[in-house]
Amino acid sequence: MTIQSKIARGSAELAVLALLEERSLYGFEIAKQIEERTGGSLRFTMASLYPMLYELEKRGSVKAQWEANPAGRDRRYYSLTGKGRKELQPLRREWKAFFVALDQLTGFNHA
Amino acid sequence: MPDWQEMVREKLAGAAVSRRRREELISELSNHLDDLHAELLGSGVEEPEASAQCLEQIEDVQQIAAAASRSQIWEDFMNQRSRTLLLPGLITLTLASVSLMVMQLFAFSTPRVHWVDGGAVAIGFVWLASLLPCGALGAYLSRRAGGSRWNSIIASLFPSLIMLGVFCTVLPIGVLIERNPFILHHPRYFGLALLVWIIVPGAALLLGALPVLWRMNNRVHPDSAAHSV
Repeated sequence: MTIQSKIARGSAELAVLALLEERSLYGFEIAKQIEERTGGSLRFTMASLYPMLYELEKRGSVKAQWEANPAGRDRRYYSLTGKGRKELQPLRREWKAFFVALDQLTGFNHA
Repeated sequence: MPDWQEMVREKLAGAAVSRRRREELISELSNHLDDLHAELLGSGVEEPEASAQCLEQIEDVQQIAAAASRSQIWEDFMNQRSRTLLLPGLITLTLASVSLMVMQLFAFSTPRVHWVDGGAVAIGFVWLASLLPCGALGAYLSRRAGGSRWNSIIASLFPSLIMLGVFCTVLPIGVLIERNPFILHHPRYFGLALLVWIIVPGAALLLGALPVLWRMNNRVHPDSAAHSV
């Protein structure tokens, strides 16, 4: 895995976990909310979103559950587990430290 | 509008996932494409362009199936029953066995002899006391993994259940096949052995598990709280 793909993957995981901390969401909602909240800067394709969700599920960070929807299609909702919640805090700190370090080094202001 | 379900199904034809998982993937991914298609149309994109954008997403479905397959291997290995029943039960059994071995090796506990109905029954009270935390741990591990109350009870009673299984296997063999004279002439001893090796340790294990079960029943699990949103 290259540095670039590691950064992309790490940031995407943080985005998904942070979003699921608020409430359970299904795949399309996750992709849509991330795109909307980042003003289109972060965009998921199906091939980038679902493998990551399945990986997080395998690690026990999120869990998925089908929920019946009488008005339409059943949805597979993802929610944060206790383990995922514990992972999120250090992940936030690491990324914050990363941006501060990058800011010091390059003088760019990520905010 | 293309039939997304059929298209995803075709793409997943050779994927190394179980039939159940394949159907889940088909539902999940075709729902995603339906949503995306509807959103694109809603935002003013023409139908052919909306369909083309969705078709682009389907190209990498095999990659998604590979990820699902990897997670399924783990899921099969550590399925819910293993996490909530087998693993906590085996840990309880191991600890109870090690505890008994330590007691016997180092004679921490001198078994006291009690007379029950004319038969000698030896019970190591220190060992029985050590079963309390074993039962508690079994119940705790099972509940923490999301097990039901019954899963937790069975996990904590696992050592006694295994011993019961051994008795149920050995006794019929001894009586019916070997015609063992000791078993045939002293059936009462086996009743006492049942008491000493299964019922009393089982009661100790359950006694240890009860406070854990009670405490966890009165606490909202963080994961279930997340689901109730």
